[in-house]
Amino acid sequence: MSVISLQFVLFFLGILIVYYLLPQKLQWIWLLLASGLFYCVNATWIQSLIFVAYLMINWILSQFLHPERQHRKGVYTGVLIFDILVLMVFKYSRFFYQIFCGIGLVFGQVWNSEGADLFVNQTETLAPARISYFALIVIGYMTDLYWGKYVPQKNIGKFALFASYFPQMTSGPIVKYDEMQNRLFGEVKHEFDYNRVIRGLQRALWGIFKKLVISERCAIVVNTIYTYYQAYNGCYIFLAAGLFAIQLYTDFSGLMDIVLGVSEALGIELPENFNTPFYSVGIAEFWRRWHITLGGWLRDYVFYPVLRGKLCRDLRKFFKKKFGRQYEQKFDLPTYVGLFASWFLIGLWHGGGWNYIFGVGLYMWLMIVLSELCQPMFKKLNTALRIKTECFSWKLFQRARTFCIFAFGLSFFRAASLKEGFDMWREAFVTFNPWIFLDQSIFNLGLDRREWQIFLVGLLVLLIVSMLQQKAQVRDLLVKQNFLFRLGLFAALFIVVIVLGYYGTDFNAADFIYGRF
Amino acid sequence: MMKKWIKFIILLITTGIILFLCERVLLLKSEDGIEQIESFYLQKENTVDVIFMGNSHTYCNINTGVLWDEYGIAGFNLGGAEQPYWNTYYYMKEALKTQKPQLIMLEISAVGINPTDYQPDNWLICNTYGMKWNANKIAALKASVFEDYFERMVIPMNSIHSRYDELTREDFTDPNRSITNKGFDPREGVRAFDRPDVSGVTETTAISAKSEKYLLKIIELTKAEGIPLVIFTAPYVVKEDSQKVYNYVFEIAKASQIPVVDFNQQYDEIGLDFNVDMADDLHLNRAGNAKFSKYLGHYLTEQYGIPDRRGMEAYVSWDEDALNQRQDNAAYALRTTSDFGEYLKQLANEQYMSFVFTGYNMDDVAIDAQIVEMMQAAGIGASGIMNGQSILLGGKDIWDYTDLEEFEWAFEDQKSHLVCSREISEHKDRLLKVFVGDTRYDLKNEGISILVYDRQLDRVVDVVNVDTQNQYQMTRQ
Amino acid sequence: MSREEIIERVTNVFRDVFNDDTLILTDETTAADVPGWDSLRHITLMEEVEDEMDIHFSMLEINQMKNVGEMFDIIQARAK
Repeated sequence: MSVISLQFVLFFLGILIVYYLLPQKLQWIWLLLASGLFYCVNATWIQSLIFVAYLMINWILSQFLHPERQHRKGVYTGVLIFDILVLMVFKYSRFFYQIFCGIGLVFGQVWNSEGADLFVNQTETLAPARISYFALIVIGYMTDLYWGKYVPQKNIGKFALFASYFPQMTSGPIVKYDEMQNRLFGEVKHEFDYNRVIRGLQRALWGIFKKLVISERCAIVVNTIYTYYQAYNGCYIFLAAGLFAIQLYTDFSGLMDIVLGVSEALGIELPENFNTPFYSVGIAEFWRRWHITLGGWLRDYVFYPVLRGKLCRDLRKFFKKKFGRQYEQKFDLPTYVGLFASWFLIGLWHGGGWNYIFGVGLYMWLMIVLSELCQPMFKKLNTALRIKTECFSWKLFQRARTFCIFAFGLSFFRAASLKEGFDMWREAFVTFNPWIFLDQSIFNLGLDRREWQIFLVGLLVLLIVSMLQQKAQVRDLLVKQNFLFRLGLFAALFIVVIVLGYYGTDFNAADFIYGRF
Repeated sequence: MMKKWIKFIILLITTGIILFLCERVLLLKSEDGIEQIESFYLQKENTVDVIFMGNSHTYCNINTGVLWDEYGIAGFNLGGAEQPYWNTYYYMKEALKTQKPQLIMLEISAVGINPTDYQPDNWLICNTYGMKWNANKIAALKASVFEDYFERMVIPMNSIHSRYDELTREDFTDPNRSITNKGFDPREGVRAFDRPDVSGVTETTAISAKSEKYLLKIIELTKAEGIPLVIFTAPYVVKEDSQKVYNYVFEIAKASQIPVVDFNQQYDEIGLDFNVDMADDLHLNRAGNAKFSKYLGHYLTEQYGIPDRRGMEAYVSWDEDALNQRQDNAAYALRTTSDFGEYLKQLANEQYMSFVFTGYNMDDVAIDAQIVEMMQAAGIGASGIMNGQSILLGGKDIWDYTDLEEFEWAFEDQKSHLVCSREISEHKDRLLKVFVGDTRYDLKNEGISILVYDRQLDRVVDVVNVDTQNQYQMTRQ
Repeated sequence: MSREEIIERVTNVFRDVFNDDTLILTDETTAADVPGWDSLRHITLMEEVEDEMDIHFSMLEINQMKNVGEMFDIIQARAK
């Protein structure tokens, strides 16, 4: 069941009501049942069984990572191999198979086989839903255990709840055990607080607005241009890239609003995944504000460990001997190596395809590294050109630049393949057709004038709310206003979502004209 | 604490009101099923004597106004687009909640024309979305759609919200949803067809199990409620294959002791002429439905003694409906008249407010004396005939103004607000305008321009310009 | 080793890494207070401190350090 559906609304209301009727001790059990139900509805029987088995195996092994146990390193290595292997097999079999066959072709060999094809198809079918998310959550948990951050959860139900808590089982956020344990089944009280429930639901409604009114509209135009990019070349490509960034942002952050809002209504705080990323002045900052929990996970479990690993330490010692401490400011190779590993994995995590590895992986790495390297140079340039850097106009420029850098990489995420991504961008420069923005051409991409207007107004509303959000939490501001005003605002937003949201079938009177019957 | 609960209840109520209003406005105001049942709900309890159910062969062919004018029969057309038997069944269940008719006439041709077990979205919407939200509506939707489609269709917003960009005044005012709407929606135009002859067709072709199931349920329902049921087919250009299907249904009816009438065997008795009475191969036109309705009315009074309700207070809405139908027919006649003389005669209609303007260029070419006489006979004042304007109400001159300069005249009563004016622009153009409410009609300032507004129907029924320099040829705007 | 000495030596490391001779560290100083101290620099910084003070931080300690004061505590407990 999609999170935006009548079914989910009814499901959630049912959960909510029973939740607050139960004594606090039993609430987590109810949540576990709800999460189990939610997962089963969204997956096949086999997928659910695999997921359950995965959790059980991990839970059993986690008990052996208790600080007082022996052979912890061995256990941890085993768990890590198991978890990574499961992820690789279910998510990346096809990718590795393609690479394998590709290598074979280089040597003039055909290494495809029916058996392998069958295997790859099967693993794709059987892959438990959301494995990319819960695998990271579990691996992070195991690693924390290994490092001695906390002791393993003895109760398999509580562990299962942590790993499968239903709001985070759509698209994250990727949670950490030490954050969540108190909130899920620890000391945090979950008494019914009317204001908090309303706040959560307000946030969810806002998320639905972003998704249905803004994101779905962008998708129409983006899909048209991407499908026919040879016809829609030149400036269209730029339009598509920009719109796709907006589409993905409103879709993903809207979903996060729904998920966090729903969880807030249950009294359980989930970590933020977005912090108005388009306000970032640089690409490095951007990735601290976009998909925050993923970045955090990579930082804590890949980047830092890699930097602490033998290769980077040796590199550092070598450089330090040769060039002294100052080298770090000029060319911090170990950091770049660590970043490379992280970004490669971020790209790969998004999908088993080179377009992902490049577009939201290595390309981003390159941009971050370049921005680090060029910083001193830019500083000098600014001074030389007497550019004021503390003013709004400069910040605006930086934000626009960041947006462009991000959107370019992201455009590969949407493309069918790396090659197609590059083809598209070649098409972007083959023609120069800025008139499309003036001569009504853009109204032929699937959205007519009125739809564009709705989209732009929606975007404007989003912008205003974001600006307000910089000053103070909008929902806190709302609480201070009069009830009737809030009611009016709710009514307006609700009407906008159900009438102007882009969903359902597209009927108009012409379809009903009763010709012959 | 109490305050919170009050706020919450207000919130719930607000949400409910919003959903209700949005659905009401966005719902398609379809005359093919939705407005029928919505208007049916508004009928006074236990006033409808005959309910005609089925598909467009009822509500396009059975003129409730004629039934009333000729026989005082309080009839209602409760049908929908290509309405399958399951939708008829649920419509019937709804109908019998508030009415206890003397007779239900069920037109069964839905199984002979485009039979299907699942209607496409647009038609099933017409046959379900007008129902009130209750168990019957849910059951009707369940019966109408494939299982996995039910979720989508049971939330009307999914299908109708996208209408926001085509909303009109009528979507908000919904004039056809009223107690005076008896479900009749006539077809017009003339197409000639060969007269069909299915008298020799005796074979039967079975209908689908689903249709048969619901047909039997319908029969059972009428028996349980004690309402007489008649099964019939309305006249049209019937095909042999369809007739075989109808024969099958007739047999089921007979087996359940339900009387059957096949109007496709009675063309002569009805007086139907397939050269002039058909709008298309499935529906009678205005001339045809008048004949058929009269014949049907006679049948109902003779066979079933349906009472004459004229003059009774509770049945006033049928007077209105009959008047509406007469005016509607008159409007059709008016706008299809191409002879100016004939046209003028029709301006005498009691409900018409006619605006007659004669162009200022007239001094060069005078109007024929004969035409002048006809215009005077129609009640047009002197100024309307000679360089001026005249306004008629029910064929009597109520205002005329001979000056060629600017003027403005207004009329307002309960139903309508009209203004007509002549403005002289910068370029010395004379601009003739008539405002009906906030809709503006610009009229030609040459020859004779006539705008006819029907006060009963509350709409402009015709706008013509007569070319006095070319044999009084009429062109319509 | 005295705490003052620790503070002095660590401050020097910070000043070197961030190229800012005016930097002052207190027990409550966190990454938010020092421009340039972000996740990209964090490990580098930690390792420079490790080199200078001849100790080793565990992954857990690096993760859990909330402010500079806690770092001083660890160094004080461990330094020879």
